[in-house]
Amino acid sequence: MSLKMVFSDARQWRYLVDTFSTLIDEACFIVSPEGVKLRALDPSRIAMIDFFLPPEAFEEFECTEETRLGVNFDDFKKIMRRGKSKDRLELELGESDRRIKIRFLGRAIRTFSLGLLDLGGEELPLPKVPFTVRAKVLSDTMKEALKDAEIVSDYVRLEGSEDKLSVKASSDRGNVEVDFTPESGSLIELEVKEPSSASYSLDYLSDMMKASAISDILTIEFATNKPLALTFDLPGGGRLTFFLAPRIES
Amino acid sequence: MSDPALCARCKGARRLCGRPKCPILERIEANIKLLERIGKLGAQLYGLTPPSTLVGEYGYPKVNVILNIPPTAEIPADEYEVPEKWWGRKKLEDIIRLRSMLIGSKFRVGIKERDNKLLEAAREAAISIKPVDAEAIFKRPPRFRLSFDGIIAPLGPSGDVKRVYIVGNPVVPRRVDQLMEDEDVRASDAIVELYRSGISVYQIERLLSLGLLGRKRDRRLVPTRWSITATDSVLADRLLKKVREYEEINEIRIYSSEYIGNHYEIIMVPGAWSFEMIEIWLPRTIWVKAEKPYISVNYELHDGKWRKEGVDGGYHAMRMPVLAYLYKERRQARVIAIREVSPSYYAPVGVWQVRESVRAALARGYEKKESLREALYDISKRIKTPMNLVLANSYLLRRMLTQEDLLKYMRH
Repeated sequence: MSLKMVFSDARQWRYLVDTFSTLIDEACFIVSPEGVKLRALDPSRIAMIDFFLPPEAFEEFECTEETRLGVNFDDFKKIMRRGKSKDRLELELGESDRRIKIRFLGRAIRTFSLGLLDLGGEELPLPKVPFTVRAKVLSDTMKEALKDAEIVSDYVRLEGSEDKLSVKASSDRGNVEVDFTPESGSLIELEVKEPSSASYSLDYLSDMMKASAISDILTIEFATNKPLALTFDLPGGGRLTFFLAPRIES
Repeated sequence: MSDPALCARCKGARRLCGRPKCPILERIEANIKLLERIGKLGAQLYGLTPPSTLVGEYGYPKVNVILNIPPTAEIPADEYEVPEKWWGRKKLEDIIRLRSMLIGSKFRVGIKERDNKLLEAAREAAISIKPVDAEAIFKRPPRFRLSFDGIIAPLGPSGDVKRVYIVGNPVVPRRVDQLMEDEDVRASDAIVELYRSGISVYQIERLLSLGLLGRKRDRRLVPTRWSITATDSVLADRLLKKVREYEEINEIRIYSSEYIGNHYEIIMVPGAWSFEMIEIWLPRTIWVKAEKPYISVNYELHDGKWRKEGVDGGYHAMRMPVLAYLYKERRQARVIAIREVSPSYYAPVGVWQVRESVRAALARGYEKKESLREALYDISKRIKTPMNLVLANSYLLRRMLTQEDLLKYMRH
């Protein structure tokens, strides 16, 4: 087994790896002729990452058989942070290699190698949630709304009704409400099967929102007191979905 | 001091009010009568040092180094500085009395200074695990005084020394000797090595503070207060790397202990490592004049990085024994450690009290609980602070009570 992938913008991978590393310590990329996937739960099992990038997203993609690349994200992140804005990124694994070569192709060719971890485990099932609200919003605006909410609380309440999506936070320090409406321009699509609301931890949400650097548009799905799914569309038909379990106030 | 929380945050250690010396500590010092004056002190002192040393931080990078010597042989020398043996046996008065009977021979030295005879003498004594005969000749006889600090043990009288002689032979464990000789080993690795070979954290702190560990170019004197926290955090971080890989405990546990006016409750809940310290100073305790308790909270999640500003030695002194315990048990858990301080803790004796109390609570074994709510109910009967107030201040407890996980949505 050997593989080689070239990606046109090293920075995008840097943002991805940065985002992953805030949620998980180590995980396995599974590379196959169909593309690259990664699915992992955070150690507290409150959040899940489900990531997929098809061969079309790459400049070059060579992979003949399924290969597992187990990485420690702390180490991976340190290397990826060395990527510069005009660098292309090449990932290469030779026959019987125990280390993956990470190459930044820019003004110089910089090659790093990263030891791979033997991470076993069967594929995780995705959480099954009957979502009742689905909204497409500008990811920047959502990121700002969550920052607004952080001023007063460590969790937010999402509310979906027929004509708007609201982000609310309250505590004895005060209240914050941010509304996304079709008129405001930040709400691109809204589908509501029934009015719904649920609370989620801001710690996790703001970690996940780091991915907004790679994708302008974000799809939010949730249901009353059920997990949330945040999906970022990636170039070339890829996607990155985060699941987050709710907080239930008793 | 208009901000009532200021003193509790500062604990006399950070000069947050801007005064050169903490007025609260000064008052305590004035109020405690030295129970026994040790007779008139001369300019010459001969005795067995436990050993006991201290590196100050005032004036850094020029600091005071103190070698403590008791002037009397009535009390065995090894009782003056053994926190692990004080716990549960010595009362607050006993500790203050013991410490007030240690006479400090003090000198000032640059943190990287070499070839200083006084420093060499202090080092020679400090490396011993048994008391060593020492002699100090003071510039003028030391004056009686006693001083307190939130982090380090109380300090007795001290005076500037002219000369110090180590008369006896220090007893040095082989591992200590090797690591002092080895000038290529990082201090953090040396700390871990020593701990593994069974050297007490108090001995490690002493070696680190006297600049005896680490790579040659990094070696320097480290104020005792910093070296205590550094030792705790280096050890805990190292243990955590392992603990994070262990299986989770499978029941809810409570551990508790009480010592010299400090009450501890430690809750362990199945889950990935996370830790929260909840420190409560009841009304009319050392740092709290107000009628309301002062609650200070800090926490970390699975990554092991504390989340709030102003983490102090107390946090590390709680976290270290918890991780040491989990490491020994080969388990991980979510841990809430509550410390409630009552007015009977009228003078601070140092963070060793926190470390040893947590250790003692864990050593005593746990009570198993059916639910977190049941555990909290139980604890609410043993602490004076209303549980609602604790919950309102806690981040992890609230999260445990309200945050769901994804597992139940993944079982199809």
